[in-house]
Amino acid sequence: MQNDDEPDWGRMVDEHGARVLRIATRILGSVHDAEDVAQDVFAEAYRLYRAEPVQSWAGLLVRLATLRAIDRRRRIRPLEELSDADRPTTIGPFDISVANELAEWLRGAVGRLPDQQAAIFSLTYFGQQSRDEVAATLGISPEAVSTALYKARQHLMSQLTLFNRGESR
Amino acid sequence: MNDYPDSQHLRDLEPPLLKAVQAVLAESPPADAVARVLERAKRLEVGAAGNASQGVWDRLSVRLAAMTIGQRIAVGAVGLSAVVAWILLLPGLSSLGRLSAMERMASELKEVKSYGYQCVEHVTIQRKGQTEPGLVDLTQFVYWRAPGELREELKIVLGGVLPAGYHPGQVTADIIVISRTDGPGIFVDRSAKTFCRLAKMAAEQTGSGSLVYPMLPLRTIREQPGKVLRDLGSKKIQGNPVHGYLMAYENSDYDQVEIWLDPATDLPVEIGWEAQDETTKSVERMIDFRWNIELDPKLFDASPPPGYTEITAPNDKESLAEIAMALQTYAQLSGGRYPPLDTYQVNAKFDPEAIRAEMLKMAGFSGPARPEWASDKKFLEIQEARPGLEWIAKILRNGTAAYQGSKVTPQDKDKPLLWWWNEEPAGYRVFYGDLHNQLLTASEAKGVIPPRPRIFDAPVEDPHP
Repeated sequence: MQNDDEPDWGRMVDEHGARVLRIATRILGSVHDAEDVAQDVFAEAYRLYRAEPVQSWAGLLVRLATLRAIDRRRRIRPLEELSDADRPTTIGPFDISVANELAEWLRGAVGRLPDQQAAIFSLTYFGQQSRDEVAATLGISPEAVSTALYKARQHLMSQLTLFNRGESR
Repeated sequence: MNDYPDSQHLRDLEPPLLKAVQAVLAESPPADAVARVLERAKRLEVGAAGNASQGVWDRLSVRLAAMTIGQRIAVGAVGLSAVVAWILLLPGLSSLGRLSAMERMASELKEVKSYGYQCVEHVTIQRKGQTEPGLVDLTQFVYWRAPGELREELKIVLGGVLPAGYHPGQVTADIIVISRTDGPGIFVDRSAKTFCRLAKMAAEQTGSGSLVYPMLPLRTIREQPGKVLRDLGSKKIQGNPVHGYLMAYENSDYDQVEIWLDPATDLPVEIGWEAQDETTKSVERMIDFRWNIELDPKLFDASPPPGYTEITAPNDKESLAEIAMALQTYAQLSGGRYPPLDTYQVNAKFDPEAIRAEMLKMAGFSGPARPEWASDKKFLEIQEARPGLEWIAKILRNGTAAYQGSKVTPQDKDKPLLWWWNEEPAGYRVFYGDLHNQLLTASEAKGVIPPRPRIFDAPVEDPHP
């Protein structure tokens, strides 16, 4: 049931729509897939909007966008591999093609992290949320965010080192 | 919450990782994509508000899809029994304080251990340019017993003025669906004499009247409390006194629902509703309710009927590879095309033997079989295509499947060539033009596979050519 105190749906869409799409795009690397995710996120959010009061629409939408995009990334491209030719030999110079490859590597690597680490890393760096915001969004403690983020970064760094040597995806 | 990459935010990242993150952050969706997302999201509200006037034909087309296997739970037979679930949900309504009879009914229904009823629906479709309407008659029998056994029988018969390829009296569905929560169910097509095994159902999906079934009416009821529009007074049904109420449920498929109660038991005896849009009128009644009856366990037996052919679609790697191999062999022999057929066309049939014969002809094997062919590589390849072709033919007997070889070539890596509903794991298995395949969720498949044409969208045959 819509609460009188609830914001207007159209205004909420205007306020958060671009952010939802942006986060999904960053995680998926495909605007087309991100649009699908955004549509699903808003459909899910709309059911909640009609059903019960929500404390933070921004938090809810960002969380849904992040989790649904990670799910989709894993489902659509679960076995994605880059060929040797696809791998950059060095991180720089930062030309467009290398940047694209690096971005794509990161998305794949984040998708292979454990669920919570993937969500926390994505919210922090792709969603640009602070530690406290991530904690609130996921309903966990700020300390748990720090721990998971540390582990995620350590893991990604080791993978990135291998990637740069051409030894890993 | 920050909304844009912020160097402060990233400063503690290890430099190589920072470059990777920056590469991701540098990518933003274009403005037109943002606009599309906003527009679609806003339409959700418009759609919900406009739901009450949703076209009857839309609902009917969904119901006709009940003939198909994959959608059986969401539509048709179960869709009709949704009303039973509505009533079961009535205790959750906030406005029921004054509805003592309805409240008592809801309370009684919660205790029900079994039920059976018949549902009849008469649909009239007045198409543009036609003086006479098309008719669709649906008859359904439903039996349920606790804790989770459901049997639905559905028959759909066409009448009136029909599109080309259909005739009055034609039975377009004659099916039985048995769903169980303790094991696999079965979908039986009595017209085609085929059956398909169904995955075990979740408790909330068995039409049991549980508080979470079915999902859409549940949400509707929770969001939109029903109102008594009118007390319809008393009358007799089959010689027994009943009392009626006209109920309204906003934003639901059914604008107004008539409910007739037996005052002696507080249980419904008859439920009915009508819906209409520009071209279509539907009158639906659930009658002959029987509550807490002894039901023969055989009604819920999910064993295959003797003499029926199984058409359960494959999901193992080997069978999927056989399908791809058969189509690939055909494409190689034909110079880059697939068997030219579109099963969305009425009467289109995928005949594996005819296709294999064509392949032999294309490879130069004509006339009676010769012994030397047995060692010919090409001949053997064509022989090996047989299981894949037979799989396709079998799958296409499943109403959720379709094949569009006349529209898709091996170069069309993004176009769906062949697809069907897979029971477990649930999803659409889609083969694309380049023969890679994917399992898509129903919502993902919407954007990939073309919708099945609706019977009454097809042109009407001229009765006086």
